[in-house]
Amino acid sequence: MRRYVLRRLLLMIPTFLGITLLTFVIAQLAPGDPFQLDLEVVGPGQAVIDLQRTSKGLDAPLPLQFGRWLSRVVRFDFGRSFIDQRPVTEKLGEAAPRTALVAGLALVLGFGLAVPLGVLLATRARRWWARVLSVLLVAAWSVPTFWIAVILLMLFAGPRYFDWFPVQGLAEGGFVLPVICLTWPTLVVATRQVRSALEDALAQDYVKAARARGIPERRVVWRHALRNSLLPVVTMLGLHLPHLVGGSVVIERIFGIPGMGLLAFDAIGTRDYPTVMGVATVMALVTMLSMLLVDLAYGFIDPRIRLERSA
Amino acid sequence: MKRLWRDRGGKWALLALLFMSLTALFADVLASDLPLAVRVDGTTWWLPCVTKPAALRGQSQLSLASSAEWMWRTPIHFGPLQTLAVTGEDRPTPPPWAPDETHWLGTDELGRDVAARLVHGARVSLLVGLLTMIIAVGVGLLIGGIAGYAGGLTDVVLSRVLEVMQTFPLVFFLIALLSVLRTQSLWPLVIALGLTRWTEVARLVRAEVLSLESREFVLAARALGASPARIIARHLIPNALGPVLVVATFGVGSAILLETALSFLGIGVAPPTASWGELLTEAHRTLHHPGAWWLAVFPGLAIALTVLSVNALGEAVRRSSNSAR
Repeated sequence: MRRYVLRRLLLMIPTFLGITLLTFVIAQLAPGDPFQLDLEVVGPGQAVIDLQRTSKGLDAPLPLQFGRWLSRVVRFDFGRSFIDQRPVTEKLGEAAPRTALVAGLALVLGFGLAVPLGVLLATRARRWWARVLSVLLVAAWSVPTFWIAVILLMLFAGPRYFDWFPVQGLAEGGFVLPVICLTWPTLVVATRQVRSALEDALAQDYVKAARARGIPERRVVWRHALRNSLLPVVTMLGLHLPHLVGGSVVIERIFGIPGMGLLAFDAIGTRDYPTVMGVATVMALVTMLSMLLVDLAYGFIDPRIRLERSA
Repeated sequence: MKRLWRDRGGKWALLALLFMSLTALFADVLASDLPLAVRVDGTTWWLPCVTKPAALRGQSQLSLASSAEWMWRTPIHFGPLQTLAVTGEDRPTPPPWAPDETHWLGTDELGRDVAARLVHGARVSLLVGLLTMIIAVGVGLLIGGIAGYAGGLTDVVLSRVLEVMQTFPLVFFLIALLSVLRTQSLWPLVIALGLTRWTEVARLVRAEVLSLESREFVLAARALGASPARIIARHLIPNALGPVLVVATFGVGSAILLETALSFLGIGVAPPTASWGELLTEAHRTLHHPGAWWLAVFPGLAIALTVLSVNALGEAVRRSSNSAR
């Protein structure tokens, strides 16, 4: 097991380098640099611009800039924002908890509700309400999150219908609507996954055997079948995280939550490279760690894998 | 195709998508500021809604109604960009107006007809969905095929690239790429979307190629001296096409959804052009007009129905390719 973990950790290094390189290239591709944006209006002359560039290290050759940046990242130092001169780490520290709160709640709620819902749909597939529900599930899959947000805002945050929640920000229950919006796609995708995995598991011989032994149906479903069908669901949890992060950009912009998504969006617009690269690095790290955790969780869920890998 | 048609879900999905495509194709005939045919000042114009003759510039179906001898109107009497300033409609309250017999689905804040914008927006959304997936499938087939066939170091490197693309939140990538390109026309958007959506196809193709590679017919082809390129193109990819088609169909749906999100972030197709995402953005911007529900509901329904049909088609393709084996 330990060797396996070590191997996984080592494999993360090229991926991490690749992601930082990708971010770096994108930031470099942007036409001009922040000083052009700022100073063209004032017109201070080329000398001042050059001085600024030198002081921020923007005149160095690109590989050198990337190398410098990387050596600081390892020490969790992303430099200062080009726009307001504050340390990027500080800005990230403010934004991250907000995103973590909303996305985390959505993840927990989405997967938490998906398991009982998926079980219900798999075991009571022939009931009329189960059929209606699975049709609704397909329909819900086709709806843009962002439309749900607009509708929710119209219904519950305006003076017209129910004035329950604030239109912007997280305070005064403002986190409820964004959490609903982010839970929605998670719930839909996860429920489908739980249902189909459980349906497969229920068709297996060991389930028949368990039933034949007279074990109560409830126990057969929850103990025997569900445990074995959780594996693909856990895989999906890891793969779903980038989507959740992506979705939070839109949601944070709609609901005016100053989290990681909004920070990145604004930073890209103002060509604030240190902030852009800081956000992307942190996001990539989080996703990679969660994928690692998922992989390790396999070992705990399914002993077969543990044996196979240590062999 | 025949099998798809016999599938109940597949039939409805195909019909719905056909309807959407026809709507997009004939958008100019369905909703335009100029009529289908008109006789004015002694000349007869056929299909001015498509040809847009210079002589009729500045005219609209409203203004022609009084001056023309006779006129065939388009089903929706307005063009997608016709604002209140152009139509010159006189109403006691400023827009947005609720749906009525003139504007079937209401108007937005500028007095533009929602139905006309929906019909024209179908073009952008369907094109983006389709073209994106064509590019994504092309890139995915190429990279997945090479990675699976070559194996060894090439496979390791390409698999890392794949993992990077999957780990990186693609919305950031798209925002950055599109703000770099700085043109808000259709092609850069489609190319950028296509370049981010190929990973799933590539992963699938790689796995399929790996499992097909050791089969007898591939060995036979190699024994006969076929080149690697020929083996990939003629033997491996055609056999991997079934599952790829399923993924591609679902991908069209998610590309349409992604386009709406990008439009909202202000990096989709440039604003005056109608796209469904832009319509929803309009709805969000108009939220301070409480009760203007028609702005959000109709575009949302159009998107949901289209994506639903695409997804239903995907399910049907999956069913039929499973039963073929």
